[in-house]
Amino acid sequence: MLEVTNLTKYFDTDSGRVHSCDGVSLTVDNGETLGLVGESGCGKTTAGRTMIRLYEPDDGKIIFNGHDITHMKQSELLPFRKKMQMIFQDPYASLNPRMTAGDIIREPMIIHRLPKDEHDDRVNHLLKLVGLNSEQSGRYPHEFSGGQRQRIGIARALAAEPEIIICDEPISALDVSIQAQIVNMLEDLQKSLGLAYIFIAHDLSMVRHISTRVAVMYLGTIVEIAESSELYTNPLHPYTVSLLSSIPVPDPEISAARKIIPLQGEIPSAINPPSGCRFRTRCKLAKPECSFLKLELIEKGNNHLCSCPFI
Amino acid sequence: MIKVINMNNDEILRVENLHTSFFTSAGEVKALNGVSFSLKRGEVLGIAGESGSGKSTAMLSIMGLTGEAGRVSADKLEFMGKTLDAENIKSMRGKDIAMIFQDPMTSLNPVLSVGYQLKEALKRHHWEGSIRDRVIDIMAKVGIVPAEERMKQYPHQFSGGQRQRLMIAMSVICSPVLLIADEPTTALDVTVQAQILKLLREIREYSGMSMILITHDLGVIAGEADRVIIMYGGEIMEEGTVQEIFKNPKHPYTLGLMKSLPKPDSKRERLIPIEGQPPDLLNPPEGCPFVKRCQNAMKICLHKKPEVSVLSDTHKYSCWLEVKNNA
Amino acid sequence: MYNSEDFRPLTPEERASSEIQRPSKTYWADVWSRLKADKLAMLGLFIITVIILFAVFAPVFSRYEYDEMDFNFSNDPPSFTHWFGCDMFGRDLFIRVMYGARISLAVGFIASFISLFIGVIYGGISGFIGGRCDNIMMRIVDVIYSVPAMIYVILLMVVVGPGLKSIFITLGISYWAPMARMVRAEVMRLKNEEFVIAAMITGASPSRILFRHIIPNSMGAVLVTLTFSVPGAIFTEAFLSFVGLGVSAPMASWGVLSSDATEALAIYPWQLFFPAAAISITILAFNFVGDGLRDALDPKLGK
Repeated sequence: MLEVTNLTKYFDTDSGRVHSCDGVSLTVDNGETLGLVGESGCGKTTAGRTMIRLYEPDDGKIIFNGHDITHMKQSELLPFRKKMQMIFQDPYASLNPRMTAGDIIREPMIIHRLPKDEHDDRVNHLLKLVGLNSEQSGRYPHEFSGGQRQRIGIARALAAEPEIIICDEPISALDVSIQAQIVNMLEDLQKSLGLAYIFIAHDLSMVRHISTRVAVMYLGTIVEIAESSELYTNPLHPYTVSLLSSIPVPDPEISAARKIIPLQGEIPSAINPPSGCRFRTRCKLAKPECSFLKLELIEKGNNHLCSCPFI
Repeated sequence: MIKVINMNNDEILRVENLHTSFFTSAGEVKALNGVSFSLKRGEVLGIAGESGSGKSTAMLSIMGLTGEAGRVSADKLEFMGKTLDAENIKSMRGKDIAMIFQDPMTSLNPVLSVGYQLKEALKRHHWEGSIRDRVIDIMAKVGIVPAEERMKQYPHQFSGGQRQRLMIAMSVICSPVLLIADEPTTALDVTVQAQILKLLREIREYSGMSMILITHDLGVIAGEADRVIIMYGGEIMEEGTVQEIFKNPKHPYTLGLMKSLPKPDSKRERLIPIEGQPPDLLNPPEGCPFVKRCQNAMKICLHKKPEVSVLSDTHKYSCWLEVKNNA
Repeated sequence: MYNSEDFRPLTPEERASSEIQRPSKTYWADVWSRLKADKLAMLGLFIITVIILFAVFAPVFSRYEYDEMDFNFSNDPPSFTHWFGCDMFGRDLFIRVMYGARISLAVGFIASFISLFIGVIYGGISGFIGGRCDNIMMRIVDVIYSVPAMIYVILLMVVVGPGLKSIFITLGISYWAPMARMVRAEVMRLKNEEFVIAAMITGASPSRILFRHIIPNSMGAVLVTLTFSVPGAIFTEAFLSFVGLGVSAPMASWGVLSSDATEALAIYPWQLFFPAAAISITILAFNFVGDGLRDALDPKLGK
């Protein structure tokens, strides 16, 4: 459904050009969840926002349902905006504090010119769908708890009847006990509405739970993509190995027994990223040729793609 | 109220029946409602809870940092045998009890070099011995090398993980007896989190300091803590050793938390969330704070605070279910 | 000790009854309730209201006219007949200060609203479009801001002639620059808020984003700036009148009254005291309200 090839986006700042997203290629199929993980500054949010054409891509191609939307004008994009929506991290910042819950959910219907007489019914229906009741539609965002606000944000995303939703850290600002509510709801909605998700997160255990496939990003590039269980049980890329070993386990015995493979040094700046393999400065397996290799994702069997040629 | 039975000489902190309220324009917020616990030398106490559970407020109350709007009262608030009143805490803060926060920039002054700030911390608490040697020593210990050169740098020249290291250096430079770490790794990536937790472990090993680790991440608690307190709505729900809490959780809330986490080995098994919303601290329920979200809630839970059930010297929890089962 | 009734599971009704619904409050109602708790701000608001009421009604009910001269009372000290005393022409100072309030407040409010109008539109456009356009627009603001108000006044005096009209125009021209800067900064900040991004992703038009999402959310900051700019304008008018570039006799603003009084300051100090006190109290009151508003709009800032 969504096919992204060599997507590149950089930002020019006073201190130089930041390579936020550098040659990202991935596909999302109907009804699947692609997890996108990586540490802060790895470009996962930029990648998500560029795919949805919030940012103008500097290179690459975005094909959505067979249409090339890479350089479409805003006016041409409107019908596609309906199909691609987004859920945000901060339930406090993602809702306009001056609008009621009902108005927030109604806005996409107004923009996409849905028949006016259906608006109210649809708002009530959506509120029910996300586990709120219709009496709450007149309330303002600050009167809801974090979890409820996230539900309103999801209802807004659903109002446009999307086919794919980019979930940018949708649960990381929520309490543990609320996270499971939201994740279950996203899974239910996926089943009943046939949605596809790109699930961007740094909580690796939740990503494993919700995703069919997972892509690991490091410094603007994808280093590994595989089926969720395959990736977590058989990580190939040295970065993924380190990353997964660092996940805290809520079990004292497993926690004591596991071995953390630490990363050396600090993450390099995205303004002057290392040449060749981005990870070579911190990699235990680094060889001299890593500094000039042109890396591509290589199939390692089992639909497991990895950018490291030495594994 | 929890009474600790065996008085131990190793005990460094004792808190009994701690109440803290904040007075806001919307009314009185009862952030803590009778919290009691103690801490031994060298022990790591993990305090887990959601936002609004009172875990951070408890620490700020101990440190005397609740600000003008806060009212703190307690039957007993003792550290190393001394009552922690406003006078005592002032001289102990930063020296005997240190604290680190989620955001390292709150404790680092951006316009002073880190070396200067570390030296200042030592001077403020009348460090005996060479100040310069101590600064270089501590910077090396937290892994910021070469210390001689880097101490001339300013906070913005360090990465997020390094700033967290600097903050840790700043807090342990006077060799405190107790370090309170309030969500020290929440803002960090997992690989950096692993490094920071390891660093804290190393510091504890050679200095023997105690630590109170506040976090919402049960994974971090499982890996670091000796004992665990589970808080909800300003009260302690369950308390026990890390084994007792993770292997034999009793309180419905603790059980709910454990179940709501994704299991690392299972294949997309549906999560079991705790339904409902976090408690409204402006209108707390009369009885158990968890009553609204508890699957097993009974009539008595609405109006009466649960009694504490003691399962072992270390394992206690507050729930009417236990009373019912014993009746 | 316990009966079995105690341990009966909760009925769904009992569960629901423990849910407390607080009444719905809009944003501004919330701000107002916080502002009401601020004693200084309420005092300021009270003073402003009293001054406005006096300015509107005192001349209507007064026995004297502001330009009524009676040389029998020339330079009289304050008394029961003339509360604030009289000036050298025997005009009642109380009524003159109240008339002055009309002019000073009118100058303050009108100049602020002109700056509001120009500033919000200019700053809004500049911040929203951004890039090179923003750069050019802001450099223009810098230029306007860097020229002292005095130059405008003198130029306008030549073109329009002295009086109220030129004061309005002068203040309008020079006062919108800080407002535009503030609005621009707000718009720049709000433009990157997630709720604005959400609207962009849904395909909202730029005008919808600006007027539905950005402007309503910057109104708080605009209101604070506006509250602080009123006393600024009053003070500037007083200053301009004091140096003789303000309204002309027999009309009186607080600045003119102060200016007239300085000549005989050593002998008749009350003639300066009352208008000067009126200026100070009004400016102080507006600042109290502005401070209170700022805290009420951003509760994190206060406590």
